[in-house]
Amino acid sequence: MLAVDWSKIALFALLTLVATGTVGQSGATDIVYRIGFIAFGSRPVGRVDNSPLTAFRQTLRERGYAEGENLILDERWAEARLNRLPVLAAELVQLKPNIIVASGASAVRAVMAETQEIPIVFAGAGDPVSEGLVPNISHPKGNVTGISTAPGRELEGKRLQILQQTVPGIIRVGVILDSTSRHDPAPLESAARALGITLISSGEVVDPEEFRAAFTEMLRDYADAIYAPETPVNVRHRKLLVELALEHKLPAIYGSREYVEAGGLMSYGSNFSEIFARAAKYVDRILKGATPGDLPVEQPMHLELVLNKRVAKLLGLSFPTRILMQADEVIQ
Amino acid sequence: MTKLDDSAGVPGQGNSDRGGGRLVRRTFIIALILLSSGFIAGGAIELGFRYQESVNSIWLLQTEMANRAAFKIHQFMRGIDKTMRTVTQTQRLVESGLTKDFEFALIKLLKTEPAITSVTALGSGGQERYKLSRVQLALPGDLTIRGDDEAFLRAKGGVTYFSPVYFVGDSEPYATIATPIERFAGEILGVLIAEVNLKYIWDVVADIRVGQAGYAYVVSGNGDLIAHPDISLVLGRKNFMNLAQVQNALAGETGPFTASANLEGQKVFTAYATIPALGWTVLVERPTSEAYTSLYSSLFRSGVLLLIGLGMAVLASLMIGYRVVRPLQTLREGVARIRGGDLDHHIDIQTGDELQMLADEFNEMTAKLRESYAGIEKISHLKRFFSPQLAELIELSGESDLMDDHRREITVVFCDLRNFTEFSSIVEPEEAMKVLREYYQAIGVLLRHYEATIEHFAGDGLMAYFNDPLPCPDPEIRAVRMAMEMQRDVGKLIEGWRKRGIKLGFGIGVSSGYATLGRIGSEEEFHYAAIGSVVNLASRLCDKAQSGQVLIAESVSAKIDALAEVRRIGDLSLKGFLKPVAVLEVMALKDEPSNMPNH
Repeated sequence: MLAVDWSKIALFALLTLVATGTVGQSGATDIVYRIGFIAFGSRPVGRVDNSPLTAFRQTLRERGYAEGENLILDERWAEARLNRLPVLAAELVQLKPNIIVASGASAVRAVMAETQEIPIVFAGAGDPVSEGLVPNISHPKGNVTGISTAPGRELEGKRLQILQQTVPGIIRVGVILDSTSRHDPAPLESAARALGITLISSGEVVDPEEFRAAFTEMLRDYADAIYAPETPVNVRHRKLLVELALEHKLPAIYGSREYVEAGGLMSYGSNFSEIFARAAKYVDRILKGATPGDLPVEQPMHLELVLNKRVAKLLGLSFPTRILMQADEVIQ
Repeated sequence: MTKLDDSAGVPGQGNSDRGGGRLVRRTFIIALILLSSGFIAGGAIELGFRYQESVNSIWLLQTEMANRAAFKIHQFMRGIDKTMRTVTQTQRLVESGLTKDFEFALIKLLKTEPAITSVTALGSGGQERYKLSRVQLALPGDLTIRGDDEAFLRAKGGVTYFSPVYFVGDSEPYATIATPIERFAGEILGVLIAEVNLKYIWDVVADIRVGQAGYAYVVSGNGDLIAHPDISLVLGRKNFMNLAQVQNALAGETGPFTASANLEGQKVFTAYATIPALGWTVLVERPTSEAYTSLYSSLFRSGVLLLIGLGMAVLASLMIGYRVVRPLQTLREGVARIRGGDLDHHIDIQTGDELQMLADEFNEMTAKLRESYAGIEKISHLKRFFSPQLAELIELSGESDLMDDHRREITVVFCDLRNFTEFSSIVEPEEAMKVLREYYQAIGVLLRHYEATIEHFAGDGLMAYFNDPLPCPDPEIRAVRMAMEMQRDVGKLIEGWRKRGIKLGFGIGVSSGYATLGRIGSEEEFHYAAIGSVVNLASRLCDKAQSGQVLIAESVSAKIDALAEVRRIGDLSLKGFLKPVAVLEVMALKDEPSNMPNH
């Protein structure tokens, strides 16, 4: 008798409810992420808390990745042996991690030689384009992206200027280079010329003995100051570097605060902890589905000038006002 | 009580069942449509207004959010401008031009404003005096003259200048801010130009909270992304011109905008605010799922009310359906019984409305039907005397008038079979009846054809007359025609019978004159009879007629001159008549006898 299609009415009501209701979200995931980490240097010992990798871990933890729960972090340290990098990179790729994080251009290149599929996030590379890591800063395209340590090569000239402003009269600066870098020396050289500075190259230094030899050599060439950029080798041997500089009474400027904390005179550059923290954010985004090629290479937000007054005193120097005014931190 | 057709109700029953089902359905559907269309129309209008109101209020709310975001972003840039002015506005720095201490002011500025990457102080002529960069080496020898720079010229005019957005190193968004360097208001000694890294707006934009999942972003006048919570989009140098909401916002359209897809293809509701001083537009987007929460809940409430209304409409429709249908069913059953012949059935509906009136009409109709049937019974009685159409005519015109006693001139026809009495006594009754049936069959056709009134028939004889109870213009002609055709048709029968060894004859007498007519007998069983000498004369003429003859009286012959050839037989003495009576015989008809009605 009743011609009403109740099922349609019910369907209508249901649709109304569904349209206004919320779609349930899936619960906690059981996925365990595997991240590989590779660096040229040694595993940090002692005051681990302020190492950049700690900042990396911290940021991942803040974003819900905890080791032992949903994260495995495989660390590979080359212990300053360049020929170890390809082996370690191959090892990491074998583990089939979701992402490989590499610190330093040489380490990045070692991983790039092993895989074109696994996303690679670099945490610190001086000039990603001239180092051959990415074709382009804003659109890296491939499986590599990351955070660069400097907004450009001009920074090196700026460092020389700060050094010269701190110790007026220096004209011969020894530059500690390493073979892991494909540094284009041109910007530094032109800046030196503009400042009236002669650069004395250390030659390639990798192990401690070579460092000592290089210092002797540079002194023989009348070096009156030292510039040590933030190459992986230098970072690895920073303790030795600052000791040698102090021993030879040479004022020096370094690429990052780690040197100054280890007893260096001053540094101007980006903060590695900040770079690692931002690399962790990229890791998070890639794990959530972003494509590395779509993520532009980020440049450091802050460049910090860190001074060490104690070392200055040991060297018989005092920082001029204009330098002190620019300092972000002065270690007493 | 009369049963006409008992079987008629049976097939009708099934039909009316289906019909009844349809009616309930139709009534229900009509009621449902009427009621629910009211509800739906009302509900739809309500929903429409609700929707419009909600969208408008969401738009206003979100525009307010965009305004706040725009204010914050403008504040950020204004803050840099202010710092630049404050840092330089010291008597000591600007005595009559820029003093040596100016370099410290620039250092201080870079310290205070992390967004400034480099800053240059220009003298009043546009020559660069001091330059400080976080990144680059700045040497006195590099200083140039920028007197033609728009930034310089604008700031020289005393106004802070914000340049269009440009990108450094392929990815970093920058803008130039130029402010006048003043010793005191109005005395411009130079210009300060700062390169501001707009990446730092990220802090501002990322901090802007727009509901739960909403966000704000900034585009330049040509759609280039300046600031976005996802800084990668800015560094990736995205242009948002392909988004409908960005086009609308840049075109300055007034909202509310319809929801459209954002960069990720998610549907978002967008509002915007402009920062005219910078030429930037701040857009605030919220996923529709969030932005429309209040809208959805409001629509949901209205929807629920509408559903309840519809439910009630359905119930009401059902109720109306049954209220109409139950009496209709009673009515239908009643009609079916009446149709089945039960004319005494009374349909009882006490709804006090049109249905009751309809039932009353039906009851009245049934009463009328009962009366009609009584009439029909009488008609069937009349049919004994009159042709069927005549009988109905008599009934319809009111029998009393026609059948009351009266006197009228009629033409009487008597006919009978000769020798039938002897024949019937010697043959089997069945054989006699068969002959009789054939005989009556033949003359019955003609009697009906000529609309003769049958007075009586007895055995083989029959009396009929014309001009009563209904008058006809030519009773004699009709009578003679009929008589002649009877002779012709019965003659054929006689021929056939003779072949079977049956010897019968057939004679007819016709006379005309006044007779008295009326009912004879009781109220129930009566007889319509004609009395008078004209009847006797016709009877006698019939007796005198030999087989095959049609004898007529003089009164008849006078009227049929044109019709027939008549032979005078002579004046005969007839029983019951004092004087001899002139008798004539109809020899033949002058024309063909078939121009009568119904032929």
